[in-house]
Amino acid sequence: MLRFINLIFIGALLSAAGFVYSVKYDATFDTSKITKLTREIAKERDKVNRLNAEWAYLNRPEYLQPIVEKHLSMQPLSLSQVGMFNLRDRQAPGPDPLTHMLEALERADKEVITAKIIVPKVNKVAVLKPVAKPLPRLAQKPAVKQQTLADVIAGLSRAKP
Amino acid sequence: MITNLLLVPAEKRKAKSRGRLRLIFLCFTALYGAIAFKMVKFAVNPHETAAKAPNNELITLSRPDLFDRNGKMLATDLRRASLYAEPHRLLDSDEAAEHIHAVIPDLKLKDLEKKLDSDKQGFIWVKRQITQSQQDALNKKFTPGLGFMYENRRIYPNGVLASHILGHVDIDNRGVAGIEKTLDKRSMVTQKSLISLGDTKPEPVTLSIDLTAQHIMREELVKAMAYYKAKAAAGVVMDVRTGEIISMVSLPDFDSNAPGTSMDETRLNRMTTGVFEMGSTFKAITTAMALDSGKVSLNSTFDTRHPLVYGGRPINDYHGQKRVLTVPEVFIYSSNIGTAKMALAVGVTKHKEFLKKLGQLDRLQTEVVENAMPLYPKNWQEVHTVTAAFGHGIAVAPLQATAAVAALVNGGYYIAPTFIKRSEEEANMIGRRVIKDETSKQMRYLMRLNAERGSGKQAEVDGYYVGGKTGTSEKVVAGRYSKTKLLTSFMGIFPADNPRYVILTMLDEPQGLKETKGYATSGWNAAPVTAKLISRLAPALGIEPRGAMAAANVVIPVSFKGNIR
Repeated sequence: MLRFINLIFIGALLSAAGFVYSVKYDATFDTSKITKLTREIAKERDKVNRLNAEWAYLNRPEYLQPIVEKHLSMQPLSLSQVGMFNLRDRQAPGPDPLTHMLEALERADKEVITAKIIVPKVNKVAVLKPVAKPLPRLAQKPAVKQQTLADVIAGLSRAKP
Repeated sequence: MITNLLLVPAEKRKAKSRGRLRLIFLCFTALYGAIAFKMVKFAVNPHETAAKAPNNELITLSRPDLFDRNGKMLATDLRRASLYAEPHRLLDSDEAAEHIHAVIPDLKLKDLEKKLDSDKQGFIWVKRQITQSQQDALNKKFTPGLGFMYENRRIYPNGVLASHILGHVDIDNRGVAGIEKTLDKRSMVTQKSLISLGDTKPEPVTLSIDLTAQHIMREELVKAMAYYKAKAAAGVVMDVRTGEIISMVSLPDFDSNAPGTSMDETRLNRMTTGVFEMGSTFKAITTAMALDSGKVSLNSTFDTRHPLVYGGRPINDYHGQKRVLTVPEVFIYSSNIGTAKMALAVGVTKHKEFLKKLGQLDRLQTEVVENAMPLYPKNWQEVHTVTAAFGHGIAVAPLQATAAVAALVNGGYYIAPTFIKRSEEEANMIGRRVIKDETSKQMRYLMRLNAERGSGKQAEVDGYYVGGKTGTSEKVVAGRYSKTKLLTSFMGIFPADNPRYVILTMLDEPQGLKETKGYATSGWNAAPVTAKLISRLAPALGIEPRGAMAAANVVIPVSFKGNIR
């Protein structure tokens, strides 16, 4: 009986030792993995940071502005190009626009009615005038000459010494 | 021993061994208990042993990233390699010196040899913060005893933009000027060992600055400075509802990345570090005080026919009207005599109290650490009230005057200016009433009127309903006011009927040009520059343009009955 218990104990002891051993090595392995990952994360963060800084550098207004002025035909908005209407000033539509339409149709039996839409009264209407300046780059751009295969070959042979 | 044991009767033996067993049991319980306790302790606080202070030498500072109010980057830390040497490990110090010199020619060969030859030193920095290509070149030849450590280096992607606000750092990444210094003071900078892994970056800080606005300000001021041949130019835009500084520029400026010239006297931040006699822009403060006291109303009249004489010196008007003027007329014709009489009507003590209330007599402290104490006579007499009424004899930092004007037009609340993003609720908590709401309305009317009919006509921008006050002061040269060296400024508000921003533009010694008919006063230079600025700033700051707007007395109804002649 006693021997049996002892055997169990020894078995338990050995398995416990084995378990502790494996846990310890797992832990060591994980630690090194964590260290590696931490280092990689730091590196990646560093890269992200560097790219962010570069992005900010390339997006600085003093660098962008001349490029925009050179390549885009954008202009500052002038007051005459802006129209506004106030939603609060708009009158509520009539009780039933369809009735109005039918009545109008009846009244104008002889006239040829193309279309009549009752528009709610608006004080100021949004007017968007087109930009006066034509788009110079688009207008002046020469038509692209279609290059044929023969042209390409001719170009190649010319390029050769 | 064994024979002895055998001789002892069985019962006694049993009792003895039971006692021993109990003792051993106790011992083991205590031992394992101690181990368990220690393990729990480690589990609860894993960094207990790791928290040893790292070597003092090998520390770098991690600074928080700085962003503008729209999340655009203003400053960040980048890792830069620094070259170090361990002289006792070097095999051939001369060879190493040559190798380094070949890659970094700035380092003199002789100095390097001397530095690397000293056997006593265990660790020396050879060159801090080298470039990537230099590092690659050094790495090509393996030299034991040389190595790299990675330090943080502050980068300002926008260079000169906002350099006066941001300030700069030293080689150890410590803030030495501007907001950078405030970050250090408020311990928002963390220390990090050079050897440790990972990064402990502090939370980023969002400033009140708008990068686009800052760019517009700087560009236009650079142009204006060249056009009017001015010695210096400066400008600030402040949100009147929150006290946030949207933009602040002072020219000439410097690059935060290479702050070598930042300590140059001409490059100081004129908005906070310099104090100036603000001239007529100060009349806004005097007028508001007079109106708020109740002793003067918009309909009060002041005789400006004769100069005021104090201490044998006459005080005259620049745009002399030589008649009896109402308060709006005094304001738009910028009458020194009228304004001085207004201040006298309120009284010397009340005047000084009012200036104190608006923060004009104390040092203005913001997150940009550089500041200056206002200059004013310690023994404040009647004559000082007279001159201070029109902005002479008292010198304040322009930012300070801007904050005061913001309080005059925002409904009457003084809100301390800040460079850190702030919400309207926060601003309401710290706002302190300095004038009545009605007075504030009258001030908006007066400032708008001045842009419509007065000295600020050239500041008008279609659609944005600008208001403002011009200011021209003569600079003191060798103890006397100079007639030719002027400091012109324009204090503008937009939109004047419900101000959102106050803008101050300042030109130092602008010259009269053919285009300005030879005039060098504020209405001819600072005012049109402000107009140019507002026409670009307002759309960028999201202010809706409005078509044909009625005159000031219609849009801002006040109880003024007279006619303006």
